[in-house]
Amino acid sequence: MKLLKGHSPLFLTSTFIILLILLPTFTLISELFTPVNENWEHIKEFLLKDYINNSLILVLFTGLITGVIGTYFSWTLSYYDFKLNKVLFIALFLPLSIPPYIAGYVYGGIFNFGGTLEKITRALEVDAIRIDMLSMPGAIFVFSLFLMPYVVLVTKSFFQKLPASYFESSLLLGQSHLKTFMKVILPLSRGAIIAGVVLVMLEVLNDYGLVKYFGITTFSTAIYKTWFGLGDISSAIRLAIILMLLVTVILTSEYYLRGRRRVSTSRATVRYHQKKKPSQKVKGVFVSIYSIYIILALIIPIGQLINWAGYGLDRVNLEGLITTVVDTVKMASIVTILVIISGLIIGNFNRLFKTRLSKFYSRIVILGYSIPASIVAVAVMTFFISLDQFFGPLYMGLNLKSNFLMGGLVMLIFALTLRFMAIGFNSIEGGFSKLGIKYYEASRLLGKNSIQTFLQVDLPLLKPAILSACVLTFVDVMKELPLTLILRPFNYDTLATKVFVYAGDEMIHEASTYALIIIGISTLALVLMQLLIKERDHAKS
Amino acid sequence: MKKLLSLMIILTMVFVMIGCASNETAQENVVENTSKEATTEEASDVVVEEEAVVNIYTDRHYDTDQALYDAFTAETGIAVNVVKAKSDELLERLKIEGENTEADLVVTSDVGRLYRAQSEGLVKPFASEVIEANVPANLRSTEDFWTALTVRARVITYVKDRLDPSTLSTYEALTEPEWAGKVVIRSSSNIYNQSLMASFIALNGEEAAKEWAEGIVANMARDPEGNDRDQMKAIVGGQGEVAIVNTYYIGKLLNSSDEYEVEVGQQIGVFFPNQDTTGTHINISGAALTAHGKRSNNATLLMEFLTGEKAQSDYATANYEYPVNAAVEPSDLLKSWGEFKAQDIDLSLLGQLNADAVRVMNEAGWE
Repeated sequence: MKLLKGHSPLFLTSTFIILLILLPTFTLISELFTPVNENWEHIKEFLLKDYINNSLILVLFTGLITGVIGTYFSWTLSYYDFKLNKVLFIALFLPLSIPPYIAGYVYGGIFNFGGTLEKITRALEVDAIRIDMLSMPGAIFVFSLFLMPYVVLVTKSFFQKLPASYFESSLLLGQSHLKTFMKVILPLSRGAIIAGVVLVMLEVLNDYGLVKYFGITTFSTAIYKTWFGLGDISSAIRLAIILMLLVTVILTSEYYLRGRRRVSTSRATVRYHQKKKPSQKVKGVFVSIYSIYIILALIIPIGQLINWAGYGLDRVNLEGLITTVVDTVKMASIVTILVIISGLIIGNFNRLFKTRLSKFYSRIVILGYSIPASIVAVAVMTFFISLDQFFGPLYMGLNLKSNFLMGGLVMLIFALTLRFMAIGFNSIEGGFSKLGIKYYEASRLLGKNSIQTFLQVDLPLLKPAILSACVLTFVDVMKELPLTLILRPFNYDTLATKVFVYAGDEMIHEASTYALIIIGISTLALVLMQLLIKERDHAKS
Repeated sequence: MKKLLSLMIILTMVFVMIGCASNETAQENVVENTSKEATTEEASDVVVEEEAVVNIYTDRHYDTDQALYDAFTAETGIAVNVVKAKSDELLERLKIEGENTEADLVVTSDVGRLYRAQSEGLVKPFASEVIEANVPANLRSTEDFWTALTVRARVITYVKDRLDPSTLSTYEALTEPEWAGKVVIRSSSNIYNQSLMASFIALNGEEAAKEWAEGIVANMARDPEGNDRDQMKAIVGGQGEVAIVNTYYIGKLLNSSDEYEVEVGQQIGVFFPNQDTTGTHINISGAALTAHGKRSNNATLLMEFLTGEKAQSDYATANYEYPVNAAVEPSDLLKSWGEFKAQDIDLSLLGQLNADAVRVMNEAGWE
C-alpha cells in the first residue's frame, strides 16, 4: 500500500486518541516503581492464591458457557428462518440491560429463605426446594445468563455476513449441517466468538458488586480489600496492574489465536446466505433452549423486579425522574458517539496501515476495560487535576473556575469513553477486518479521496457493525456504576446511580423501579437499532 | 520500526510536559491562592447568593437525609448540593482534588473512614458550641475533627421461639464449641465487621482478637454470604441459630412492604452482648468539615442542624438509628429492646486499627 504515507491525519488522530487513553494509565504505572510495603507480603500470603483461583474458575466457566450457548443462538438464528428472527434477536439482547449485580440480588432473593421460590412452594403446599444461589455455581449461572448477549451480539454480524458459498460447497460435498458447522463455520468464526467471550471475561474479572454479595472472594475483592480495608492504594494499584497484565496476555493470545485467518468478503459477486427453513427437530431443540433462556434471563428477573417495585412503590422517591432519565440518555448518547468515532478512526488506521504500531494501538484500546473501574477513576481524577492545573492560567484569563474540567461532566465523559472504548471498538474492528481493503482500493483507484471513500464506501458497509457497537456501548453506559458514582458533579444522577443508592443499602424494593426503567430504555434502543438495520435492507432491495 | 520510534519520542515529550506542569503548578498554586483569596473576599460582598451554598460528599443514601437537607435549605436559605458515593472513593476524590475541592462537608456511615480522613489531613476541626452541646464528647473526635450524627449497635440476634436468650452472653462466648455450626455473619469485606474486629483489638489485644476471629470462622453455619438482612432470614429459615447484625436492619425488616420480611423481623430477638464486660459494639455515621472547603461556616451550620433535636428525631424514627443528641429519645422500637451499655473506647481507634482488623480476619481465613 504505497498509497498511504506514514504521517497522515489518520495516524495523528489515532495517536492522539491513544495518548489520551494511555496518559491516565501512566499515573498508575508510576505506582509500580514505588517500593513494596509490608502489606504486600500479607497480601501475597493470605489474599492472592485463593482469590486468583476463584477468579479463574469464574472466568473460565462463564467464558465457556457463554461461548457455547451464545454461538449456538447466534448461529441458529443466522442460519435458519424462524419467521420472527429479528424479534428473537432483540429478546436475546435484552438481558444485557440488567446489571449482573442486580441480577445477583434477584436470584439471591428468589432462592433466599422466605424468597419467592419458598413463597410459591408454600402456597402450593409442596416441599421446599433449597438451592444455595449465593455460591460459586450460582455466580457462574448468573454471570452466564446476563453476559451471554455479548457473545451473540459480536458473532451475529459475523455470521450474517458469511458468504453463502462456504456452506453451500460443504453441503454439496456431502457434509451434514452439523458437520458443516463444526468443520467449516466454527474455525472461520473462532475470532468473532473469542472476541465476544473476551468481553464476557473482562466483565466478570471486573465485577465487584455481585461477588461481594455472593461472598465469593476474587481478584477484585483482593484489590478493594487492600485499598479500602488496608487503606493501601499503592498495593491496590499494583494488584490492578497485575490484573491488567494478565488481561493483556489473554488478549494477545486471543489475537494470535485469531491469527491471520481473516475472512474478507471483498468480492463484487458476494452472495449472502438465504436463511433455511429449519427441520422439526432443529426447531424443537432451538425453541426449547431459547425459551428456557428467555425465561431465566428475562421473564423471571423482570417479574421479580416488578414484584419488588410493587413493594417499594410507596417509598421510592421518584422526584426528578424525568431529569434523571434525560441526563442518563444524554450521557449514554454522548459517550456512544465518542466511542464510535474513536473506534472508527483507530480501526481504519489499523486496517489501512497494518503495521506493528497500528496493531499495538488496537490492543491499547482494550486497556481501559481491563482495569477495575474504581482504579480507572483514580487515574482519571489524577490526570484531570493536572490538566486543570496546567490550564490554570488560561482559566483565569477566561474567567473560568479553577476546576473547570474536574468540576463538570467532561471528566466523567472522558472516563466512560476510555472505559467503553473496548466494547465499541471490538465490534467495529470485527467489521473492518471482514471488510478488508479491496473496496477501499477500488474506490481510491476510481478517483475518490480517502474521506469520500470512508463516507461513501466504508461507512455504509460498516453500518451493522457500527450499530451493534452503538447498542452495546449505549446499554453499557446506561448501567455503568462505579465511574459515574464517583466522578459525577454535584446533584447529578443517572438511573444506575439511583439504583445503587437504594440497592447499596439493602433497599432492593426501592431500587427495582429504577432498574426497570433502565431495562425499558435499553429495549427501546435495541428496537431502534433493528429498525435502522431493516430500513437499510429495504433501501437495498 | 520508524513509527515505533516516533511514538516513543511523542510519549517522552508528553511525560516531560506533564512533569513540568506538575512542578510549575506547585508554585503557581501559591500565587494563585493568594490572589484568589483577595478576589473572593471582594466578590463575597457583591454576590451574596453564590455563597449561600454547601456542598456535601456523602455515603448515606437515605431519602430521609435528602428531606433533612431540604428542611435545612427552607430554614436557612442555604442550598445543599450532594454527591452520593461510597466513602472510600469519596475520600480518594477529596484527596486527589486537594485544595481544588468544591466539597465543604463529608458524611460517612462508619467512624473508621472519618478517622482515615482525619489522619490523611482531609478534614479540619469544627468550632461550634452548638454541636458540642448537642453531641456527647465520646461521640466526637477528641479535637472535634468530626462528630457523630447517628449511632448503630452491632448486636446478636436470635429466633425468639427457638432460642432462650439466657444462653447468650458475650461475642466471645460465640466461639465456644457449643455454637459450632450455629453462627451466621457476613463477609470480612464488610466495613461493620471490620470495625467490630478493630474494637476487639482495641479492647483485648490482637492475639485475643485473632482467636475470636478463628473461633467465629470455625463456628460459622455457612460461608459468609449476603447482607445483614439475609443473615436474619437465614436463622429464621433454619440455617444457624444466631446472626450478628446492625440494629437498624431489624427496624427495616419490621417496616418492609414484603410480608415475609416483616414476619422475619417479628421472629427476631435482639440481644446486647457483653453487658457485664466490655459492652456492645457501636459504630457511628458522622460528618466532618473538609480541610479545603470554601464554605465551612455553612457546613458548620448544617452540622449543627443535623445534630439538633428536629433532625435527630427524624433520624431516629425514619431510619431506626440511635440519636446522638441526648435530648432526643430513640424510636419506640429501639426503646422496646431496652437500654444497653456500649463499648467504652475512643471511636477513633476503630479507624486506627482498621487495617490490623482486616489483616487479622484475612489470617483467620474469614472470607
